[in-house]
Amino acid sequence: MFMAEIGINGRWIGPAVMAVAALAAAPGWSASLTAKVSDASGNPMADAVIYALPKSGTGIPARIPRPMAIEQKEREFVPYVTPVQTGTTVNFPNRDPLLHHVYSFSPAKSFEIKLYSGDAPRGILFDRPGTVTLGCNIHDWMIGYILVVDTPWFAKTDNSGRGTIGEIPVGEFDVHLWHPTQRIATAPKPVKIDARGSAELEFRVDITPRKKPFKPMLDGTRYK
Amino acid sequence: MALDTNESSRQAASCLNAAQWTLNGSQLAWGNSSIPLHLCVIPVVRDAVPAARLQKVTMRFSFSFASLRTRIVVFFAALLVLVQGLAYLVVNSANYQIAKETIIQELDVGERIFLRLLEQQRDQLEQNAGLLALEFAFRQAVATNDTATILSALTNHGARASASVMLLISLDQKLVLADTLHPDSRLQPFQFSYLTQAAEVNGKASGIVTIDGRLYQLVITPVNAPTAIAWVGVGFAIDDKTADDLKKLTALDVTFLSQHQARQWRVHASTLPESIREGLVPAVSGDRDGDRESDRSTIDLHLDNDDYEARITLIEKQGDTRIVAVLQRSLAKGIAPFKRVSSAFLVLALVAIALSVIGSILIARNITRPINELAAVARRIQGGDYAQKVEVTQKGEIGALASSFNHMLLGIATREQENLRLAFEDHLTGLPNRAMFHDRLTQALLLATRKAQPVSVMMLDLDRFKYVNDTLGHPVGDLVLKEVALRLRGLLRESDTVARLGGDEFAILLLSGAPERTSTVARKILHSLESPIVAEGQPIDIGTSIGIVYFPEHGEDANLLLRRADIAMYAAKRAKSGFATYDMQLEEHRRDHLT
Repeated sequence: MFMAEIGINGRWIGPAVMAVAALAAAPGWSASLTAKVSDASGNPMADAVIYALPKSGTGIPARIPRPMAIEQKEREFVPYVTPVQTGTTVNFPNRDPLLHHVYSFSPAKSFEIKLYSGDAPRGILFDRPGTVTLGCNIHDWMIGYILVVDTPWFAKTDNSGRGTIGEIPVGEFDVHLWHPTQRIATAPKPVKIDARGSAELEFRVDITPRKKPFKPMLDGTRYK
Repeated sequence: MALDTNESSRQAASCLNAAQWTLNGSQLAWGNSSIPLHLCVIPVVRDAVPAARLQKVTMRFSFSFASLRTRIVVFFAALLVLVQGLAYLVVNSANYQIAKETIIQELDVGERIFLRLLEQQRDQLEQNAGLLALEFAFRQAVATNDTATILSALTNHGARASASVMLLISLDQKLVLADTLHPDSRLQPFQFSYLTQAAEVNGKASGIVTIDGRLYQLVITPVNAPTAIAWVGVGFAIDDKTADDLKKLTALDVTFLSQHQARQWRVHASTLPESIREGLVPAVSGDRDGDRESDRSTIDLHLDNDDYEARITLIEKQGDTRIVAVLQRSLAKGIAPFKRVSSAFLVLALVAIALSVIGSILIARNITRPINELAAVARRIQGGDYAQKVEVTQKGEIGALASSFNHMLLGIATREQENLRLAFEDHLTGLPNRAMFHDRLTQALLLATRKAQPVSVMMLDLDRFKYVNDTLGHPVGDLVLKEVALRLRGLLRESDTVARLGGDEFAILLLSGAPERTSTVARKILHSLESPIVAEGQPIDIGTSIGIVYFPEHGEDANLLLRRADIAMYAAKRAKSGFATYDMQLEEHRRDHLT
């Protein structure tokens, strides 16, 4: 079952394995939490982030999260949405044969990596929780989001609108939902994780449909 | 004057009566239709003086409407004035209509240009605002959240875009974060929230708004970093300069007015002078009754003594705020080119009328001058002067009339002469008749008295003429008389007069009639008539007796002399002495004889 979860969240293999290793010693860890997110008209919604904050405010293991990477590929941020735990360093490798200028004016993290190619000269440390909107100064349509949360227990929904937090300890949590184009913040839902439970939640969120900004083509073959 | 006219008409009437009388008389006498024509001239001659007066009266009215010339001139001038006047009215009214339609077309075109220019300006503003909202440095400044920095950035970028007002509005709560018009105020709610609402849907929005009583075209776009972090507003003032620029391109006067909450309309900007632009307020108020359904209307406008055609175009309607543009064009200016056409037409019409008056005067003169000449000749004929003919200078009707007139003149003159001849000449012998003889005798007596010349008168008749007439017939008698006349004439000087007094009675006047010459002439006559006269192959023996009188011994006047010559002649006949000179005793004898 665990492996199946990993299979579903393929991208999470790395951190998940690490989390498994870290949590192996902790008591009562064997549960998982799945959230099903749909929009106002019931369509499954991808790129929503769920994250669970323990009600006690404690129990979060004090470890340095592994660095993450957000690529620039075909003049897009990949992935579009990236949830990270506070304290994560994110790298911005440039996979395009041209320069990018990544910036953020967000209060949670304001930074700027001026024109570069290949691996960015440095990784950026996200040390405060909040939303960070990523932009590229020379490609206006490039938009990416980093959600910085004070918890290691988070997941992002796939195209079926499902997101599963694989290893979550027994206890009481508030489960939060966030989406880049949500109109209003959704109220967190309390959930109690017991030893063998695999809790499931359903969220409905009112979003502004994402309008892809105009992206000019460089040439007809590569950037169709 | 009145007396003159009365007298003239009375004279003319009497002249007419006389003519009729003569006509009747002549018909009775000759029964010939050709004669009366000239006979009626004679009584007219008698009235020559009053007729001239009548003419004078007519002359005085020669410029009255009765004159042919005046009538021709007035008729043609009036006709042309009528036609030209009607044409002028038609042209004028058509011009006015065309001018008005032209102006309305100009308004249509001007309005389209005007609206297009507003759109272009809005697009320009949107572009400027869009570029500004994407500029990294600006976004950086906005992201600082520092009012002073944001204001200076807005001012800086506003200057680049030639904007009149720059606003920064918070993304969610729509609070004004910075306002270049009011740098000190902060966090007021943005009063044109409908623009940000529209921008949320469309990515941008624009409208015409009033801020502090001034009009602005305002564009709202989001500041994307890279998603929207705030709204930026870029405004362009619509002022008199804007109106002037629009006027340059539309060729129309442009005025912007607004109305809030059904209050009085207010003028914001205009190309019209300050003094008259307020005059638009009642016009625009009057045009709108309650809610305005259509976006445009055309009205007639009167401002400052000038008429305008005006188009009222609704350019903004938000809630209870309405903003209109009034586009107008002066009717006077629009009509000006047509006025020039009208003036040119008027000048042409006046010239045409003047030329036609001159022309008709000339034509009338050509007609009336020969008529007047004919009239003058006719007047001379009235006066008995047949010498002067009418000069035939023209061809056509007038020439024909003048020719006929001359023929008539010639005819009258000829007949007049014939008439005189008939009056004073013996038809048979061609000798002067009794009247003429009497006339010449009277003349000769007057002359003789002055020059103390002796004048003698002989009277003779043929002794056997009655017998010739009775036996041989009148034709032979006439031949005899002719022959006698011929012989008598042959015996006398040119200055002497021999006349046939009637029947077989002849008289002779000798201007140098001394008794010796008189006796000689008498003897010659007797001798001449002793030789027989051959008529129709038959010798006729005819004798004569002559009575002689001398002036002044036997009488002072012609009648007396002729009577006494007659007495002497009878005495000679009785005595068969051939000739006898008058003697007082003869008179007594005759008296005895008569009693």
